[in-house]
Amino acid sequence: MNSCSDKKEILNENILFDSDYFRKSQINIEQPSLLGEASYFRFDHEDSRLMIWNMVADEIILLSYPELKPIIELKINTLFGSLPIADVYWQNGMLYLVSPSNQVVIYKPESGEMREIELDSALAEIDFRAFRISYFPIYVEDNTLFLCGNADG
Amino acid sequence: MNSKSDQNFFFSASLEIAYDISKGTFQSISQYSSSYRSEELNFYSWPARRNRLLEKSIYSFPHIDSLYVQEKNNSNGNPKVFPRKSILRKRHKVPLVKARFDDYSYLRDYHFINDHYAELITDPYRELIYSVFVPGVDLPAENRLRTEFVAFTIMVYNSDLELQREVFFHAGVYDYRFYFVSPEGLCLHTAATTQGSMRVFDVFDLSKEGDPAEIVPEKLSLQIDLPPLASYLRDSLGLDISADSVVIISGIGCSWLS
Repeated sequence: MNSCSDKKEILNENILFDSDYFRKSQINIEQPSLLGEASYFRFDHEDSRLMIWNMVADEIILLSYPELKPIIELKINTLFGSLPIADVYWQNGMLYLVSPSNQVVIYKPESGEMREIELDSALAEIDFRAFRISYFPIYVEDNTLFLCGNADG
Repeated sequence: MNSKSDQNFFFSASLEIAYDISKGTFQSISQYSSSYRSEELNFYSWPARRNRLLEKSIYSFPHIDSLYVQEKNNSNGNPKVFPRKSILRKRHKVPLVKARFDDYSYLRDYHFINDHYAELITDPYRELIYSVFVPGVDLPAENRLRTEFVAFTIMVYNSDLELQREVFFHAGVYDYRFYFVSPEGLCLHTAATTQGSMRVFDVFDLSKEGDPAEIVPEKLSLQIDLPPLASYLRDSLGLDISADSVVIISGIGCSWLS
């Protein structure tokens, strides 16, 4: 006879559960200035901000949470010129942007402070190119930036 | 489409680097699975995924029934490998047809045909990992498929990479590409609101204990009469009504002419 833990393991390997059981609530987000489907949503767990990045509108909006009121709206091309963006990441009051040419921009909207880090020549030595798309999100942890890349950059 | 030598070149290099912002130094912390250099799959539009949880990088490759974990204190060693296999994983891999490398529609739909693992999501509030699995489906004869027309599952793992459960999401209800994790749970974009100004997300607590209903999925994709291609492009790209032709350059983007 199987123990309870054995049974649980067997269930996990052979049974699918209906998602309805796990659904608990709904969130409505109004984003009138954004277009089409090309919006990516990321939640910053450190300061509870929801970031919306729209690639078509070239726009980043930060919403308070759970109020979902816009706090900051940034036009990427106004701030950073024609820098193509591979991914954006908001954490703890700082915006991190990475371009496919391995350029990293760290921007603090509160003070306007901006720092650019040019990684291309160093990373070229190991044939590394940051992704053009955000399947591997940038991640910042203990002052370390984690970047994924390659394929076609 | 890149050549075999390009494929070798790209996937021999680092998959992830860690850049120390204070010191200005970086190190390579992981590599691609060797199958990226040897197999004929459309990796360029069928990407791998990485996410972070508890100072670990977790990697998911679309065609591989494993999760890979690189721990902080082992950044120079090989990642640990954990088994993963969806209950709905049944299809054999369909290799790319080389003769159709220039066929944009074929490459676009290729991932629908194959079983594959898509998004990899981490939940720092519950210390859980969610791996989205998308079962391969037959392409409709005349209509195009969209991501939200295909059913998917979410495999729920704890931070020790032990499977907790697999949860089924019906075709046509959610678009798994758009989500975020809030203190309340995993917020999934409802398929009905991917256009327009009001976006609706359903919130799921996948750590919820109890006795959820078991399910035997019957329909893995929806067959819906889609609008004509012109209307589809106009809506999905947000084109002005005056645009009467669209030029699409595969892999680069598109422009429209009025």
